[in-house]
Amino acid sequence: MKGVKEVKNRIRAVESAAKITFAMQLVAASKMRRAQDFAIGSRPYLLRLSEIICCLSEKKIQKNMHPFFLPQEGKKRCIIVVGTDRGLCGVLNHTLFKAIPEGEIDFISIGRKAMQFLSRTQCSLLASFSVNDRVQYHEVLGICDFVAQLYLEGKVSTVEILYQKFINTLTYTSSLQRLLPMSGFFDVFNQMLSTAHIEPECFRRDVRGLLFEPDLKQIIDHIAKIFLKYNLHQVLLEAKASEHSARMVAMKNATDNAASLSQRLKLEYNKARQYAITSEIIELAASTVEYR
Amino acid sequence: MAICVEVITPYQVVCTEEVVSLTVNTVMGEIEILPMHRPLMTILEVGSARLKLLDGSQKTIATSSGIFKLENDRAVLTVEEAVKIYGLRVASSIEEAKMLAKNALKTTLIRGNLEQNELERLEAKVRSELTKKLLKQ
Repeated sequence: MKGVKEVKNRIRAVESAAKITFAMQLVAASKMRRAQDFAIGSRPYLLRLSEIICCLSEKKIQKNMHPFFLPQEGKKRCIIVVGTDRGLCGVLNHTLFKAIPEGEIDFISIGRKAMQFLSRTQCSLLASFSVNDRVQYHEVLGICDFVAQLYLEGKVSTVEILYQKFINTLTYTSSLQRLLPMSGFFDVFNQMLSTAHIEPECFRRDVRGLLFEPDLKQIIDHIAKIFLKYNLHQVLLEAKASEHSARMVAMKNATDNAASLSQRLKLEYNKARQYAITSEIIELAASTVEYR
Repeated sequence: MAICVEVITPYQVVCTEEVVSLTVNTVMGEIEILPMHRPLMTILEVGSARLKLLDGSQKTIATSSGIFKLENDRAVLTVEEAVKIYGLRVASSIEEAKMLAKNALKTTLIRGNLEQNELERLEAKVRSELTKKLLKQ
């Protein structure tokens, strides 16, 4: 049996660790609520923009249309991997990195953990960005411009984004979503509707056909860049909501584990103490008998 | 017959209303939409959207540029920024601010008097304690 002092030291260490994890849980909970509000609040806007993009991508694509709608030649994919900046968020990053597809792919990382993983696995990493918890708009603009330039120069044929999609506090799934080209957007839109639990009937088309003013090309030019920016912004908000939720849950589990471990150690401590007392009494009794 | 209008920004759904007519500022000029209008998609200019409600009242929403889509008597203004002008109570908010300032000043004054009283009470206590000590000596 371990010594009383040793067990006491362990109890103290576990209790101080529990205090730290509990504080981190509270911080993550407050950040999580804000991140979730942002992510959920901006969903209707993206849904409407997607509906418009869906309408536009159904039209016959002409050669002089916005290049974001025209598929690029070549087979090289570009994937943006959205990881976290800090750890202690359970298996969030691990499951995300497991979902990275294989092949000839150029990568862009967002978050320190994604950068570390991609550089460690010797992937072709083009750039590494970092966004703070509030997902500032100017941070998204930089990423957006870089990606648009890559696509327009024909260096990559598709731009996709891999992130942890937020479903609820306990659930998130790795999702690989296409950002560019924007043509053939119908499947993505249907997927968004099913995620938001909206019936496609709500978006039924008018038989009279849409009238575009001033013309289709100008509308597409106007919406293409806005959609890319807000799509990326929404993805980052969802990823942040997943990150803080995962961290909160991980810290809660750690606090619970520390509490149960501390209880077990206290039992061990009491046993050790009792053992010491008993052996002392036996020794005393034995010495008294001998003295008589 | 009514048109369902939704004004959506990246941060929130600003307004959802049933209206009899809607006037928006587009790149082609100002247009008024009535029920059974032909499906339309156009670019919005910075300006205001005027909503005429079923009860005859009018609401105005200032919007930034964006996309306007009308289909099946359902109008959606997808804009980057929107502010409800009808929700702003400028005059009353100024009155409220003045009242708050007046109350704050009054409270500070009362607290100032209280502090003076407190000081006198403490001084009296110190005097009595000193007298007791002197008497003991």
